[in-house]
Amino acid sequence: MNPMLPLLTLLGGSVATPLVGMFSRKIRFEKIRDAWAILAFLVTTCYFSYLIYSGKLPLYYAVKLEPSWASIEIRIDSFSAYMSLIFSFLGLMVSIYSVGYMSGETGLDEYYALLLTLVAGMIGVTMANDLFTLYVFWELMCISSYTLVSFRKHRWEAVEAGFKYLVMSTIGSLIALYSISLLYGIAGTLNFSELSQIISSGAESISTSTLYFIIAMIIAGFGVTAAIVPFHTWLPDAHPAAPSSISAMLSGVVIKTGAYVIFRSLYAVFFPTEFLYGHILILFGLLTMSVANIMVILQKDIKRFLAYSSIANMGYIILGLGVSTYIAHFYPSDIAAVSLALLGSLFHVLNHAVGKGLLFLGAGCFIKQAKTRNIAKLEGIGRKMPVSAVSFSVGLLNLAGVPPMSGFWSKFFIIIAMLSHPKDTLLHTSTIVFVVNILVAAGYYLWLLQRITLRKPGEQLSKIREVSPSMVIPVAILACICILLTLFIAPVLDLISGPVEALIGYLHKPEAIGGV
Amino acid sequence: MKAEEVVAGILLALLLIYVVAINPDIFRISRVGYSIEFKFEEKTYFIWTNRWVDVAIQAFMLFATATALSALFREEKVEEAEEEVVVEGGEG
Repeated sequence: MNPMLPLLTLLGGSVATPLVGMFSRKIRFEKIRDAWAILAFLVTTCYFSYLIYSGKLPLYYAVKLEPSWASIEIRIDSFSAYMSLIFSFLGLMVSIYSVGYMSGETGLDEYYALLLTLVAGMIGVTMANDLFTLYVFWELMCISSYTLVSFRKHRWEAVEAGFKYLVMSTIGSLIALYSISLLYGIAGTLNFSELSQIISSGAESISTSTLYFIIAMIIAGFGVTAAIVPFHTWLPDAHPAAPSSISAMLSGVVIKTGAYVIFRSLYAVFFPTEFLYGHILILFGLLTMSVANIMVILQKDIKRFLAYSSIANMGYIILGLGVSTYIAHFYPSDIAAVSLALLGSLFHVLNHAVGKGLLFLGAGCFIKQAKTRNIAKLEGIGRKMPVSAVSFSVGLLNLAGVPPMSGFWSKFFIIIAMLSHPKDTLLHTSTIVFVVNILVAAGYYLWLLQRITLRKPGEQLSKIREVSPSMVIPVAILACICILLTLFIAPVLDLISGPVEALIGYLHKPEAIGGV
Repeated sequence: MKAEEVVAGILLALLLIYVVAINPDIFRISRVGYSIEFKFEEKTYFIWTNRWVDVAIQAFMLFATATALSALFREEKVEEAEEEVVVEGGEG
């Protein structure tokens, strides 16, 4: 199958959405437009599922044409396919959810077109074979997400949050672009495999301080979207202000795209065995989770609560990356610990994408019915909306890391990797801070669970009923997936071992990316 | 002195430093050496190869921008009751 198929499906679907919308209004059946978007996501999800299970990875696709600028070169390895599958699957769930959730709103042609473009941008980022193409797709993703955050433009909150996100993300993108242009300046290429060869050979007097400067800018630039503290301040405003379906996308997958680029750039270009940045990432990870976990406790707004907890979870993911690169630098022979930290981190990407997608969609169900985001006023709503509440509780238990849920295992793997060198002071101390953060997080997730589901509902919730099936079904599916991830953990870990091997492979053979 | 004036002064100073660092000829300052040896002028093949996807995606960026503007300037009628916004520092 043509590797361009997912991009063509999503982008073609996006361009055609306004036309399908016009047609569906003409025949007075607007659900056709919604079905169109769902179909595009379904095709993409099926494509990546097939690609992963067929074992045809890595897939290198090049079409040589004259003039040479018109040629095409893309690459899908296990890591790209894994991330793309998560992106497209959550896009599918969100598009189904939007049928009920967004009904009654105007501008739905634009909404679905931008949702498709958003996912196309994210998938493009993972498929890019060079940093220039990656950046172009990155911008496509950003443009869509700014608008979707401020989609409910009649509210001051959405406009303010969208503008803040626009300003901060643009500054981050510019920092990233500067690092990319510096790399191009010193290496004459941005192709991942060529860059890794040039930089690892220490070729032609490239200043080490310049390379560390570039690493710092990559982490800071893409770290804005990944919501690493202190670049996170856009997120607690943007997630509550956006429609809940978009909050699920932002929290579930958009911030993971920032993490993906950091993972890919650092492992593919700046080998952790040669460059020391692991300790900085560990400190960023710890700072991110600690600040966010403290902030969560202060929140009264359920979406802001979930938004801060997303930042904390990004801290876990960045910590896993930091631990793997730190061990790869100081204990290069201990590939098992490097793999375990990466496995935990990438497994947490999946757990958090599914879990937080579920929580935001579930919170959207409650908010849609109760017309409030205030946790105090949502107390006991679970008793009125049993399906949503049970699904929401599964998501909370998963992210709380309650054994045996999959959220427990991803954090456990990172801890085991950190304890692999008990005499290392940084790893040892970090483990203690990490465990304290996990316990705090478990406490506030369980606190939210008991407030939403176990308490008696107040008078104002007396007329509340369960939401429409199109909203409940994706929430229930995501809850089932949380349980399936726990029950079938062995095949899931087999699946994630592919991306781990793809990243570890860079440490041994730079040409593993399948480049020229 | 007001805080805004101090910030403006700092920004102006930073701008001047940046201009001097990037293009010292403006102030007739001659550059003795430069630590980064740029390669892209010697090897330009990268920027002229495999760019079809980028060009196509830039076209889609224009489409996305047009769609975004269309979404933000659309006429809107709010029929349903709006959800209550929790204001920080307000009553919980």
